[in-house]
Amino acid sequence: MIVPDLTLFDSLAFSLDQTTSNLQIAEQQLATGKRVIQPSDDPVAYTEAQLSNQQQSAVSNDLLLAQQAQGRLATVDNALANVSSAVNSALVSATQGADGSVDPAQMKLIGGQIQGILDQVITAADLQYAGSHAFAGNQVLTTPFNPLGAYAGDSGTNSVTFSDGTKLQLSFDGKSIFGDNTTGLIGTLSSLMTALNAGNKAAVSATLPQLQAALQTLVQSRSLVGINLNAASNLLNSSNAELTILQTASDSLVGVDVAQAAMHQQETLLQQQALVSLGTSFGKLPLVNILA
Amino acid sequence: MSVNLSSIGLSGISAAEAGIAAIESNITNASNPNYSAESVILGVRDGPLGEGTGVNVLGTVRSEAPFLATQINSTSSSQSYNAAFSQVATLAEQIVAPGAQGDLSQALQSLFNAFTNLSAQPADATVRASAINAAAQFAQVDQNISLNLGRAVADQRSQISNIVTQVNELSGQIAQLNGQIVAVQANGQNGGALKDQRDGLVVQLANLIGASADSNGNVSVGGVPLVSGSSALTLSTTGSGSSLGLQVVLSKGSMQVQLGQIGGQLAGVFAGAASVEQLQTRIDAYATSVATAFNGQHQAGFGLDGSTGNPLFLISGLGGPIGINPAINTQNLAAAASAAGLPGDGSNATAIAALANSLGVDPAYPGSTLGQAFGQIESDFGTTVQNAANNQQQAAASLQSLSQLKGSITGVSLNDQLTHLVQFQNLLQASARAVQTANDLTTFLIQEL
Repeated sequence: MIVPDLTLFDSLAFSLDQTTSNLQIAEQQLATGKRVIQPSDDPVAYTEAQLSNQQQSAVSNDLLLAQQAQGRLATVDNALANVSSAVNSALVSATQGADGSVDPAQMKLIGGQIQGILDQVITAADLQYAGSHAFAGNQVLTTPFNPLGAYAGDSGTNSVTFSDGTKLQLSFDGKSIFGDNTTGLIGTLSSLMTALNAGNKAAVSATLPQLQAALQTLVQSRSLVGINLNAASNLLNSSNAELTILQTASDSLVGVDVAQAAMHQQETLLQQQALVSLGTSFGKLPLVNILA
Repeated sequence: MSVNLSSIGLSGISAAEAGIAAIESNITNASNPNYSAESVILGVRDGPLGEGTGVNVLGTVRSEAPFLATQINSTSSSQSYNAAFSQVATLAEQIVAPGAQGDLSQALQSLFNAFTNLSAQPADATVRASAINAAAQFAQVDQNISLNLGRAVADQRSQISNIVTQVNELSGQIAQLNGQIVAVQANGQNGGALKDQRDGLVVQLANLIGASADSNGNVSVGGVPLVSGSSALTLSTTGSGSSLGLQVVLSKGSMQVQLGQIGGQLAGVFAGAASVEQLQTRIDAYATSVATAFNGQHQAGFGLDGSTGNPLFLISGLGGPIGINPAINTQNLAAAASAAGLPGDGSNATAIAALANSLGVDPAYPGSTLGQAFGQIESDFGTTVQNAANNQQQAAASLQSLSQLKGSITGVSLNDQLTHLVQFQNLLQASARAVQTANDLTTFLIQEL
């Protein structure tokens, strides 16, 4: 079979084009660390990686949001812990005030202490975190309790739902936790203060079970906050783990085996050098050089 | 019986000269891809008693491989088709999936993230502004994609008239060559050089439009004639935009050319433009589905100012890209599910963020989330681009292989030619020696007599 010279050079050019293209692919893979850059590189892997990237974006956002939520809930829990401690002090004071040995002057003195506790409770109930009130229901921009304990919030609550379905309650109905100027903890503390100032021991005694009930409500509220705090903590742990898994999955889908790519690059380079060498020897092949 | 020794030798010299002439032509055209090797046909010159009295040059023949030439034209057409298709499809792929810059699905995920954040802090002005920015960014990415895909389609289609002009020029040249070949052959010549030129032009026409030619140089594409003998028909475009078509102008009226009848670069340009236009329509439909779902939920919610029923996005009735509603601001962005829940209720924002996990928001993908649906769009188009690239590579490899095969029949091997050159050189020298011997013999006889 005749092998025309033009075919020889055409074949060489074709082969060089092929190896150059392969070399370019290998170098691009090594430079980017990725096997799949465009959908056409591997449509299935690209799509899977894109979905993984979206999930990573959602989980990363969850992480930031969960950290904020955790900070908010920890502050809420801390406020409720302080209020519980104050209520325990109020219980001690009330028990002392109801004692038969205490005279009216001493009762007034205790009444003053209760006023301080009441102020402390109202300050805690007006807690603000990142510009919004935690115990105002949905009225997050309104100070929920005035200095007298009247409630200006509502009974709404707000939650955030994360990409894995975890739901965290971030705002609370202050009235159901602290009552107001006539009910609940604040109402009881007001009544206690009035009874102490008036020297009415019977009325002081009557507030004791109410204070116990208010303390119980606080415990339940802290429990609710604690559940949310645990959920936030779990979410943070699981999100960190999930991010690692997603990143690994994404890398395995589109990442390149560097050692293999480097080997492939070397092979292709060698192939190209061999072709170039072959091309230079073409000039020596024809009989014309022998016959000359 | 008398023998004309000189005449016999001279016939050998003539044969050697003809052979050397053919070889010189072959050698000088060794690098001409449109050249077919020529060879001299020799025949025995018969004497009156049937004895050999020398050699006759019967003619020069051109090597031909008509079946392979047809296959090469067809494969060239396929390669050109896929190259033209790949060119615009690869560009479209980069527009839709720009890698690190982020695609529409990433903009959508950022939007979902922004609404999740809004659900946690519905009264926060900064978070509200971020949600609006994310919505505007999503609309902007959609607009950019739609605009750039539209430009790619328009650029692609703008090549068509230029290709049609080239087709008509080539058809005219082939028709002219057909006339010249007929005239040359009428004078007893083979017209090899003209046929080579014609074959080269037919290959170009195959590349451009997928045309094929018969042995007489009549060219047609998908059954539609372009060149008939020495007459060329004119191809022209009809319509514009997505209704752009082709027709062949006849002496009386015209003949529509269906796009399925053509091949080569022109078909690739048409198909590439149509494919990218489909992608643009699909992405616009996807963005419209997203916007419709967002609007439906947003309009059910309440802004900080108590307003409700406000759409977040503007949707083009013509199916074009979406836009952010310019009337949306941090006050009327509807994060709350009820007026009573203002300002701290973020449940409508939660409902909007939950669209990320809803199936069938894009009705074209009933079992998929929006993220999966966009992934499917990218994957489908990626497969189209991949197939075109693979087809182009396969066609290039086939073309290389076919060209090698054809070259082994019609090509020029310098080694081969040099061997023949030595052969004819020897013939020339031997024939000259024969003439010299005859001359010496005649001189001797004259002197002796």
